[in-house]
Amino acid sequence: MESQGSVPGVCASSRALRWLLAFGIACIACSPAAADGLRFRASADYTWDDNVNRATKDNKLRDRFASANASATLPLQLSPRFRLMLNGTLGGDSFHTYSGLTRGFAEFNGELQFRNSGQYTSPIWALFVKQGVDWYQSDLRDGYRTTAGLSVKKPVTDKIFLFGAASYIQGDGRSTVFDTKEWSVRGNLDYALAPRHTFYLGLEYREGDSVSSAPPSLALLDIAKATVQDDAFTNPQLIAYRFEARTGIVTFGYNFAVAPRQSLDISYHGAYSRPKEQPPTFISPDIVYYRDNQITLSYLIRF
Amino acid sequence: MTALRLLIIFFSIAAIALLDGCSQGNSGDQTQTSTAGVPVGIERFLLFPNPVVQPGGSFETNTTAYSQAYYAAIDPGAPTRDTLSKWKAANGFGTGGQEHVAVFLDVRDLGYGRRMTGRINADGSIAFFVENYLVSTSGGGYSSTINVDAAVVRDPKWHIGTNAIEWSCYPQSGPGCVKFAKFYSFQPDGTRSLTVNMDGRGAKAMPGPCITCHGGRGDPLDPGPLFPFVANTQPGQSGQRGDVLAHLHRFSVDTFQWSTTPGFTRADQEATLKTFNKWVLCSYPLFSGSPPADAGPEDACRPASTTANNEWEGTDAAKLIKQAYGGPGMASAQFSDTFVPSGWSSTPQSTMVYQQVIAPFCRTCHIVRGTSNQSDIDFSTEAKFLGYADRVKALVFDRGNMPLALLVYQDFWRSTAPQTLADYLNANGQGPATDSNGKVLQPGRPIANAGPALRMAKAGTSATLSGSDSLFANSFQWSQVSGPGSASIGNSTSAVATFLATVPGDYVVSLTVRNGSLSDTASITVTVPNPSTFTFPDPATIKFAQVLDVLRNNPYGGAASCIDAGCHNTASKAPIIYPAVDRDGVGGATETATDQAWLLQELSGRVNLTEITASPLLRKPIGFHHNAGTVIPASTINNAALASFSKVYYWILNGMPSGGVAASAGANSTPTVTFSGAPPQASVALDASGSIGNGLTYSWSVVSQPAGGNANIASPGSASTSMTFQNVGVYVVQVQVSNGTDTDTAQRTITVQETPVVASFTPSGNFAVTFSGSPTATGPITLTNTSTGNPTTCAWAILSGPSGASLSSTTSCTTTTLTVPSTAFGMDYQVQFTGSNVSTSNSVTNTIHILSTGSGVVANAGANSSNALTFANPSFNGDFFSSTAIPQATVGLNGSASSGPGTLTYSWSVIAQPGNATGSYAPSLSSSTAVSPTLTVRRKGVYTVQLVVDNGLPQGPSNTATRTITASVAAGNAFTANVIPALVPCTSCHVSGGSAVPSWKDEPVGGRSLYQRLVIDAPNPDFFVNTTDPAMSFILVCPGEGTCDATMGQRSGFHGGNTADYVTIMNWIIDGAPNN
Repeated sequence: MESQGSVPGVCASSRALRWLLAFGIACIACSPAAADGLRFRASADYTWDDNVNRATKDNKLRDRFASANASATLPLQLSPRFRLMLNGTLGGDSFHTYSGLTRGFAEFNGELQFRNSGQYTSPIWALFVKQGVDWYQSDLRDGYRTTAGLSVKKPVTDKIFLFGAASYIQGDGRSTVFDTKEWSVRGNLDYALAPRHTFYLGLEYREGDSVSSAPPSLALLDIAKATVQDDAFTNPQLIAYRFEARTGIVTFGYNFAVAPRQSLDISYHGAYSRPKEQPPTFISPDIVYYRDNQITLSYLIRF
Repeated sequence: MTALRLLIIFFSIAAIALLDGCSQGNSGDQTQTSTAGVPVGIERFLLFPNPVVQPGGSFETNTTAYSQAYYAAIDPGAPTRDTLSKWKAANGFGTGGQEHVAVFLDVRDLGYGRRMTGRINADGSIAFFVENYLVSTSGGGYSSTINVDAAVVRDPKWHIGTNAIEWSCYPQSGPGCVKFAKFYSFQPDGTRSLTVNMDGRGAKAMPGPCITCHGGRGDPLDPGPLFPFVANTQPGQSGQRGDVLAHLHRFSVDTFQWSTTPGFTRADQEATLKTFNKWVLCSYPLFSGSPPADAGPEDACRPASTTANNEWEGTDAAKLIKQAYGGPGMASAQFSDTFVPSGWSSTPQSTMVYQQVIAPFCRTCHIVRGTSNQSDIDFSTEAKFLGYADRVKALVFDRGNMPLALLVYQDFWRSTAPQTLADYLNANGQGPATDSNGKVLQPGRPIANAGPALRMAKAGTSATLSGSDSLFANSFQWSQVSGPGSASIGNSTSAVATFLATVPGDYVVSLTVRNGSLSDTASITVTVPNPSTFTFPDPATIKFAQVLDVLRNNPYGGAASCIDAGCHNTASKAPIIYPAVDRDGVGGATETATDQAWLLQELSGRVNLTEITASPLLRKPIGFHHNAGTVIPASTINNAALASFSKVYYWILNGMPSGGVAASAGANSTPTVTFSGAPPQASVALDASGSIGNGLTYSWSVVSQPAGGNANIASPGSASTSMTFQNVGVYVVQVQVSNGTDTDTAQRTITVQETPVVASFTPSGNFAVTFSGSPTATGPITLTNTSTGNPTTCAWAILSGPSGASLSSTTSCTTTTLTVPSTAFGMDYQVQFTGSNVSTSNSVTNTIHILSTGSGVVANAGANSSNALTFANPSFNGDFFSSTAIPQATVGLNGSASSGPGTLTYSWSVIAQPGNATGSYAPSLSSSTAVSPTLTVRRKGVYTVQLVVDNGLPQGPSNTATRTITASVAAGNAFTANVIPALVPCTSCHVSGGSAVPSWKDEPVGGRSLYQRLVIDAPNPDFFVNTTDPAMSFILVCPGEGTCDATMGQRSGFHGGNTADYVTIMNWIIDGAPNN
């Protein structure tokens, strides 16, 4: 019987190899010349979320959390058309009520960019890979995130920027409920109203695993792919359900540059997620879905 | 930095990410099955504590073969119940009538949402099928309320299967058939399932998971395999294979949880569940003699039963149902369980134990167990529970396999019940169930099990010490604690060791087991008998034959063997019978090897290879739950009993091998014999037919005998023969039997006794002898030997008494004759008898007082007679006679015909005579003592003479005889013919016309005839003829009247020449002077 926290031998070896590779990369990358290109960013956010547990309307739990992030980006020009962007981020979220959701994370992102020409409107294609690790107060959520995908960034005008990306996201938590896999397609439109004022709109479609925490429900248990007693919601005890769902996310926000390298941002994120499989009507006539609304205030700085 | 380096960096990063495809194992999911506070025992939930371990280690009751055999038994031939739809159809579901549904969450036992459909049919059969729903994910799980929601909506995703119980006669039918409970499991798709996973601890073979709680037996399969047949078929039982004597359970409504969905709340379903409980009650037997106070109309549907049926009585189970609804009559609509049996109500503590331990954690399964023959396992009284206290302690606190259902087990250990139970067991001397701090001992700690506390071993031969039944042990250490010598213990650090001792005596051996810092020790006593006085075989050689010997032949010298009437025989109520019978049903008068194989198979169910010391085959004979029958009492166990017990134990350790031979010489005996013949000898039968084995040869021999025994065995090579002997004492015989491979011997001690001689004979005291013979009369007395002890040498002797006695035999042992003379009448003889047999001698002296049966005399006075007599005058001299002489006649008497023993004396007497034969005319005897006197009579008439003959012995009627003599006057004395002519001579004087001398002429004188003149006309009637005094008749006497004078010299005229005339006239007068 596996004791809590141990991993199969093969996986332990692969994780060690990964850290070795990461160290090696750092060594390779951290040449004096490379260090000169580092860019740093930081942000502080405060978010209100009306459905932190991603549950149906009768079971939604609201909370608010503060976030802080710091990242370092190192652009590395490979060739006139290829550039490698390396990014490392550290951050965390601190929830007010449901502290189990409080987390720290680290991400390491690599993006290989390609631009055919230096023309302003020439799109920047990128292959990206991101590896993150999360440490939650909820043990079940601890784990790793891996994202790989393709993006394209294109200025349309000097005011309008388009961004699109398709990616595959895989999570590996301590519970099988949080072993998620999903595909994402997103697009973003930035519109600079004025030199310091930018509105942005984003749409994202995800298909794959979605986790919702709710009271025990026959209807949910019938369609869930995995369940676990959620250690982030213990009073009352909720169940974390993993569904195969379709999720749409809309984002719109406003960014105001208070200083050349500082800005304030306010954004709204709205999500609608619906499991592909619905419970039989003899169990529940209701459609299972969840909506989530977030409003975030952010302060960003780069240096 | 070169582009190449950078590309390497990028793809390395990609590799890092992709290598993250390894999962970290989801260790967080393991925390969902928390069993905090619940100790881990051996975890055999829903398996029989004796699961019938097979040679490979599997449990037979948990094999598909077992379930296949079960279904084949309850649904034989072309199956009619191999799918749920068929089963429903066979039981009438969906055909209307009484059929109901109830949905609830069974949190106590299985944790399922249960959708129960029940039905009762017109023939009284009852059927339930229950769809079980288990949402087996986090958020669900056993006892989750989600389960009942799934049951309400019949969510097929969580439908894990359907169980069914059918209480019916099937496969029998017809009048008189007996209903019994049958169990089925169906998969969600409706196909019948051989296994069922009721608790998430693995699939288990049917019907075990059901009947471990529904009261059924888990007996081993019969060869075939056939589902076992409970051997104690009684009239009221079904007699069917597949009838495991299981029962329906009460619906414990108080323990259920309910959906909130309208129509499925408790209130909505209370009435349905009451109906279900009434149907369950209908399946319980109603025993004759049930207390009237417990009776109610709800009993009308229950099958009648008696203790002769030896089935489960269900008394308390029935009460449990009734009390939940207010008692007999079941008037209450709502279920409320407050039942405490009277057997648990003696003290507040008893009631508390019942309410906190028995009712919630034991009762459901135990109350449906047992038979009327042995019911203590139902725990319906405190005494019954305490009778099982040692097993309760072992199963709950040591092994951790009771309670037998997972949820019940977990709830038990999360409650205060363990402490309550442990304290209770301690208080009743069945602990310790707590440690030194009073904390409850929990399963999972090391438990040392060294086997039975007592066993036997053979001197100089290794015996196995098995600690394999120890629990949770990592290390073992065997050691000798005490003993008369030094025993060698081999493999002392292994679970299985060996014991070898040469010095006879009792050895105490201990086993210590350890697991980490915890340890436990158990001690046993090994008895090594003295081989010169007691034989015990090599334990390693013990096979089935020796066990059969123990079961059939009473080698332990108990009050009875196991198969004596009333016990394990064909007429008994025991669940398994031991005699040599046809078990495989193929017929035959004798037991075949196949029959023995069947018995071995049945016996294997009485052996618990998971805990050998708990085997019923070992526990019951020493008094545990054996219907009050203790065959080998532990308190008085002797070598023979311990040997028998040990043989069974070693047979189990040896793997229960078949075959072997067991010699039986018969039980030791102390016959009391009768020696007879010359020389005196007796015999006793020797019977080795109780020996066990196939194709046996026999060889009898005499091991020892007393001096002078001269024992001889008639046919040493026969199973049954006899031994003759010539003395009392102790004989030891031995029989050796062999089947060509195995050999065994058995001895029998025959203590020959002989009834001691107690001399006696008859008669004693008064004895009436019948005397005979003369001149000396003697009489025999038969002396009869009545001694006990059958003396073969006898002696008689006359110690004292009148002379003349003799014995016909002085040595007869039957009778002899004591002949005594009649002179011994009224006297005593002292006679002695001495009798002797082989071993004793005794004398007795009787005093015989001689009496007589009678004198033996038969007097004979002669026959009655009629005598015509001629009377004569005894003084008549021819010329002159005295008038005083009385005429007389004589009659001879003869008593010589009298007979009798001894010397006879005679005594005559005249006891009757004519009335006028008095005075001078009285009769007289010439002699009153002569044998033949004469009787002189002087009158005519009837005379009676009496003769009494005496021989000195007590007289009886026969000593006296009488004779009647009718004396008459002889003829020739008639008046006309004889008297007148006789008077003619007188007429010379007595002429006609004479006056002084009357005329005696036959002529009328004065008109008077001669007769008139003689008889009538005389001066007085008696003058001439005096019939009163004939001798004084004047005609005869003629007294000096002048004319009759001496000168004539012829007074009376009668003289010698006229004697005849005188006689004639006198006789005529004596005759009454008739005018004839």
